[in-house]
Amino acid sequence: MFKLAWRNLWRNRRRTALALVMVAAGFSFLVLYYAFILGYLVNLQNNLVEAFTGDLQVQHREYLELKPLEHLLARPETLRLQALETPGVRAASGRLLLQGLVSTADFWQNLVLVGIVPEEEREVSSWARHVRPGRFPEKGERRWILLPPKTARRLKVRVGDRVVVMTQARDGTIEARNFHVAGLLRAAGLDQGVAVLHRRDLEHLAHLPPRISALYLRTRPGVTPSEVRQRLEQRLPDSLQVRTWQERYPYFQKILTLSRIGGLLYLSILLLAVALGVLNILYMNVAERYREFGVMMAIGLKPRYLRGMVLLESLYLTTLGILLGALLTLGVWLLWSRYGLNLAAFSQGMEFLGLETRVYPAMDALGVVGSLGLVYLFGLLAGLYPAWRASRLRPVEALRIVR
Amino acid sequence: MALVEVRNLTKVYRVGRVETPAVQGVTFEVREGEFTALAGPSGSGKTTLLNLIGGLDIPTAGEVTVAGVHLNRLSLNQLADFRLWNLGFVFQTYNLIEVLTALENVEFPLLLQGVSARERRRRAQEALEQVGLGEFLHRRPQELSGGQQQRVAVARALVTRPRLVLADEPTANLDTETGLRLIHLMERLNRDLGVTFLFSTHDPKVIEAAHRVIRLRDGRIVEDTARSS
Ligand SMILES: Nc1ncnc2c1ncn2[C@@H]1O[C@H](COP(=O)(O)OP(=O)(O)OP(=O)(O)O)[C@@H](O)[C@H]1O
Ligand SMILES: [Mg+2]
Repeated sequence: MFKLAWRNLWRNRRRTALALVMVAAGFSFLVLYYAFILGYLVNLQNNLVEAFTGDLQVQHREYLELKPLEHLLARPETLRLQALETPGVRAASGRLLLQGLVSTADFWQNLVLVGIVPEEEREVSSWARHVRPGRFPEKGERRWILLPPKTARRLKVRVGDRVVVMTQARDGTIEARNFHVAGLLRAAGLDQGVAVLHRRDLEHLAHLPPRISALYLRTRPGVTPSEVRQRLEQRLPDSLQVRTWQERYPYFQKILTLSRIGGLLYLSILLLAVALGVLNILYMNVAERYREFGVMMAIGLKPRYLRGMVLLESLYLTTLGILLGALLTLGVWLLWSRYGLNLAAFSQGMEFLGLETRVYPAMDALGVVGSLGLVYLFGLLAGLYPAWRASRLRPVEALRIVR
Repeated sequence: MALVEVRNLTKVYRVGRVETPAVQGVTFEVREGEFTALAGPSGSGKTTLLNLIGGLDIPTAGEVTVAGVHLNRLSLNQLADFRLWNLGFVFQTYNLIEVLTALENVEFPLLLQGVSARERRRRAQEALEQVGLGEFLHRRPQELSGGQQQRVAVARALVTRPRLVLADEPTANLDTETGLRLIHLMERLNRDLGVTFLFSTHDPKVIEAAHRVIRLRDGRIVEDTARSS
């Protein structure tokens, strides 16, 4: 019976080949589109992590962004070393975040002031690579500031100019000092109102001893951030909280999940079209065999076996189509992962913000199981109607058809 | 007891409002071992009658009993099983499954019966040798002549060792000589194996070869003659 179904498939080679190509193309497209979505999200995520969030963040449990001067972390150096000694941690940078004001003689702008130590930050974020024009300060340099391009335009300042930075100190007084603009920082998440300066300078401005708002960590490849988080939690005091970037920004995580599922659903519509084409082909294959079905039923084949045989044919077709599609996918995949897909042509903003614009294919379990499942589902659905028609045939009626 | 008992059998086809009585109150018997022809002009009801006897069609009225089984009382699935275990069929054309070789075609009913692969092969080969096609086991139907195809169909009908073989105009698509050779083959198998044959034809030469001839006209029996040969 299996052999029979197999041979039936090759009765009309051209038609079967067409159906195979359809299934293969459908499958490939599904997988590659999913790979694109996932690759895009991975890229987005990397961009976010690199430019903004880090893999892990250590903060005081009660720290609130709205009250930036409370619950800061003391002895940042010790904390940083402790973190760096934890297996799986690659780099760490303490940042101090305060509200502030940057002004020239004529204009001013409200900003979040981020105090960093350049040589620490270099290892954690992509900021050092995204200063243009100007340059990212070296170790030991002081009294510099990196401004977002928008602010620089608004204040009409250029690299090398002086600006006044003000912030409210813990004791309530307002302190102001001169800084020179070392460069413009183009990085995602920083385009709106974030200025970067040396942490020491910011501490002085705010009349603070060494303090940070959060320690930003990068993990080593091969370990998941949540593994590292567990180790860190064991080492660090209970008053500190370690969170992965997903936990810190659950909103992003939700968007990422939704886009993956959405991508698959969206592609189901494409698959429906493929399924209709395959159904048509299977149906033609069945319709021209009514006479033969009649003979088989006269001999004693029961309708349900006939139904099974036609379904088996569609199963073979789908499987073969998937195998073919997998080959096709593999080919495209190899090229793609080698050269990447540059989105710069489509979204200039990305490059401007200092984002990586090349997207590489990515795959996960949901993608594999989902694509296979969907294609099989639609393949079998396409076989269902022809199979049902075949099994409803009465032998006399089928036999009367003479070609 | 007769192998086939047909009593007051009637089949009326209804197409829209038009009713065509294809078989009208036919009664006759076929005994084990007969070699009987159903003769009659086109449209006289030969095919309809054979289909009713073979359980392929449901009568409008009357009864068919084959090998003691009342076909009227069987469900579609039971009819399929009944055909598989008791009957053999040969049709006018396109008897064979195109994608299978001669041997596989003959094996097919045995496959449905659940016979083991080795046994299937042995019996199918034997049946093909009986019809003189021992050399053509692995040919596909398209690679065989019309007469050879019909012989494969006969082998397939016989391979399950049925009580009765129903053949609807088995020679109609063959030239006279080939047709006669097929009929003589069937006669020999009837003689040697004791299988009962009931076949329809409108070819006078073929009718001559039969041991008994039932003539139909407009769905009724007009003549039933046995011949001593
Ligand atoms: N499915 C059907 N619907 C309507 N009428 C039918 C149907 N099948 C057969 N008939 C009619 O029943 C009558 C007998 O047909 P049947 O096929 O049994 O004749 P036959 O003797 O086999 O003829 P032939 O020698 O041409 O094969 C004919 O008048 C035919 O038109
Ligand atoms: Mg007929």
